[in-house]
Amino acid sequence: MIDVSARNDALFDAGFISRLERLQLLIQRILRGKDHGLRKAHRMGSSLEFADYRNYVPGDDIRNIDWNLYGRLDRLFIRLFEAEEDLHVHLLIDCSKSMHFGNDSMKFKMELQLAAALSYIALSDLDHVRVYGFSGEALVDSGICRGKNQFHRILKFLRTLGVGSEESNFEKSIRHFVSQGKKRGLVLVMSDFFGRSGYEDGLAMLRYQGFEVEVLHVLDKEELSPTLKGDIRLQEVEGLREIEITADRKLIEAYEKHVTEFVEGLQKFCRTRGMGYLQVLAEMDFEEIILQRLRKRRVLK
Amino acid sequence: MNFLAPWGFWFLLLVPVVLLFYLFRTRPEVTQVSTLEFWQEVIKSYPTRHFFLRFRRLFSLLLNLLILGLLLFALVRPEPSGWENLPAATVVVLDGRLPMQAKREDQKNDFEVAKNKVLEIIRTATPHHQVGLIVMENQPRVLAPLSANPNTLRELLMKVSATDTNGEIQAAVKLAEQIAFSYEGESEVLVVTNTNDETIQEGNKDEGEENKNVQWVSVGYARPNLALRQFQARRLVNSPQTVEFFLTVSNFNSQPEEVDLEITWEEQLFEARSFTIPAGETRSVVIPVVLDQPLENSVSMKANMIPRRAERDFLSEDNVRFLLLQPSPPARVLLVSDGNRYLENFLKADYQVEYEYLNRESFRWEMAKLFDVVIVDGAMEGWGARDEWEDGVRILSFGLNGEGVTETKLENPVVTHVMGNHDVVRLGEFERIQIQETQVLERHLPGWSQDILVEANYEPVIMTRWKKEEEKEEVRWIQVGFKLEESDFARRVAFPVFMSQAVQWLKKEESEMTGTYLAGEWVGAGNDAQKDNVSSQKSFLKAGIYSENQNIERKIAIQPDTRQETNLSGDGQKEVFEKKEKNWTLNVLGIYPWWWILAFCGLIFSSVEWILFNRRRTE
Repeated sequence: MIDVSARNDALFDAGFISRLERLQLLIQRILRGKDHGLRKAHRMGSSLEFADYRNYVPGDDIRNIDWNLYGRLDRLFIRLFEAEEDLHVHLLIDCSKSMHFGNDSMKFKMELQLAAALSYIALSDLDHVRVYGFSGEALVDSGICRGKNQFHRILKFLRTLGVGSEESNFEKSIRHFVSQGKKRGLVLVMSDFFGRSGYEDGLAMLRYQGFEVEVLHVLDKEELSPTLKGDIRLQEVEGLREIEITADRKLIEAYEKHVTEFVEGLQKFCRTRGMGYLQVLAEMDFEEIILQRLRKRRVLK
Repeated sequence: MNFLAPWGFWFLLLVPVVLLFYLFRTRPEVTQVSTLEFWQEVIKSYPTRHFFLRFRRLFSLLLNLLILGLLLFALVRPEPSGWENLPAATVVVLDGRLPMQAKREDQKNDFEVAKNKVLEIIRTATPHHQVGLIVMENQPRVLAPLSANPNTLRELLMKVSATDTNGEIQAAVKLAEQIAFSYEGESEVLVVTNTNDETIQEGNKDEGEENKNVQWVSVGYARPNLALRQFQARRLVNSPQTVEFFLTVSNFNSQPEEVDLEITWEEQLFEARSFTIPAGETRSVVIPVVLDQPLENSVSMKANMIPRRAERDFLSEDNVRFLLLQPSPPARVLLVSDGNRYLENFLKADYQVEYEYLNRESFRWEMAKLFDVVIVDGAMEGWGARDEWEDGVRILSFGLNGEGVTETKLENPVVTHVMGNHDVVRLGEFERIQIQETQVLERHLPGWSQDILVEANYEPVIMTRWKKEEEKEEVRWIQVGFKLEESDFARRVAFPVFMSQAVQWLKKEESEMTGTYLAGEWVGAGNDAQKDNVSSQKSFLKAGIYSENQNIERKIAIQPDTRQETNLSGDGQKEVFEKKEKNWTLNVLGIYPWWWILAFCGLIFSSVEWILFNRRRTE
């Protein structure tokens, strides 16, 4: 077993890894991969799983003729097997400064944990996994990994991700991602979507390119319900902008209303375009998210 | 402008401290947020708040400086320059008598208006201008001699209310003058009243003392009023069964008024009369009543005057009067005589006297203390040891006795002078008395006070003598220089009058009026009830008669009396406070001292500042 807890900054412990092995990423649509994998395809292939018979027609591979059946029925039948294909899983991690909001950058840490866990699950299924970190217009990736032995590579890449120097521009990052001609597959986007450029164009582009998109909306509880009081100068972590407010109950309620509208807007956007949406709070128990919430959302099984 | 506490300016050094504190305190805490998008949208939805927030620190600083300035200004106690002309001492006489209860059209009575005027004066109280307060009730009462503390004066003034009493306001003015002019420097007396009687005001001015500065501040003006000014009763001396009621009704209106007058005897209608009073005149009514039998208990009587007019009477309080008609217990008299049957029969006929007869030889001076009056007919042995009958002995002596008399004897003297206003000899025609012989009385006895009541040939023949030594009852002595049988005095009409009045005087019943009490007078009704003949005090607890417990002993106050005028009318005289207001032009801010108002404003601003800028910090 791969020991991912050897370092102090381990994203999760070894016991949890063993539980991850029993999970599998679910996809709603058939997304053909090029290579053989462990994921059942809805077409016939060359796996060991018997699927059906059909009449022999000339030109069929005679190695697939069921000679036993020929002996009983005196007719030639070809044995058909289910195809097992791999899946291309793209994990897009928001590395903008806003993800480092809060104590100990919990949002970002949660992102990394999710990315690591989902990568491991995908690697266990022999899926192609590629992790991207985006910040501003920059997009860095881990390269394609396949098989559990590549998990260390993923972890190494995750550790290299840090705070981006620029304000996130989600739309440009996605455009950059798409323009590289990636293989269609499952895209897991982890972000707070607080960028001023908005999220609509980026997500729509992914969907348009035929990706199956799962949005993991990572937020801090303080972002939803701030505990601010009195005269405060607010400083945006992504930029140098500042404003002064006098936080009172009324103002906080107004803020919460706007944030709720934003979250509900994103949720509705995802729902209407066939994208999955799951809100993840940085303060949540990570294992609960993986083992319960993502399974409940039918992202994992 | 002067400052009474200039040391307070040292606190200006606090200004930089406040500024530093303010700058330190108002530095907002910097908090990082992941995005400002939502906050900007929130601010857009509160544009006015945002505008306010932009300048809030400036507002806050200005308010803080204003608060500090106000408190500092309050601390140094500014004295407006107009006050420099004020005298060093002002003694205010506030009229608290019954007429001050007259209500105006706005339902405020004159006393409330007068109090407001006095409050304005009190506001000017400073160490350089001290203010004294005297309230005139039935007697002048000093609230504060002279004080520079307006708060104390104001608190004292707030406790005062108009009374049902009447008194001579000149007494208060004199007292105020004594207080004011005992103070070094210029001083003045302000009399705040609604009494517009010019004779009273002029009377004070005429005394012509130097530095006299008495100003009359009128808070009243002429209003139609009818007043029952007098309700008294007395027994006729020469007919003790007869009680006379005196009533005086005044019309202060400018037109004749018809009134109904009702007198009740223990709430039973007793007498009713109607009459018309010409404009501005006073009418007296005398109602004699013969009592069937002597009074056993006190009787509560009420006189009610009901004006027959459509408009209201402006001082309805003076339309009702009360009095207590008290029984007069018979005097216990000891007749010491050797068989003067005439004198004995005379005493027997007088139902106000309970007498006992005693032979002169059996008389001992110790017995005198057991009786109210001792009548001694003729000379007595041992008369000279007057020290024995000191302490409360009351003697009426006839004839020569060797003491208090001179050697001079008058044959057939003619009465040349009678002290007609004296309680003992008034109403009697002594000039007609024929005396065969009389001994001339000594004009002066050492240690005694005396009045010469009757003189014959300009020599005293009837005298009253009395003396009072420390911790002893007063000794009274009516000395008649002749024997009854040596004159026709006993057959004259003057004799029963003389006897009745002599007994009353010896009993110390000095007042000719019986059963009346002065307005506002307190009558003991508890342990002293028997003493004061108010045993049935509960029946007196009616409108206008008040009860009060004072240290267990119960007292009853009689509402209005009678003797003093209750004139509201000034015959069109207007309020004259305007001329004083010129001196108090800076009193427009109200009744409180300057520095109080400044400090109060500072506190208000402080509260506003806290609400605007700090409340949300602690929400």
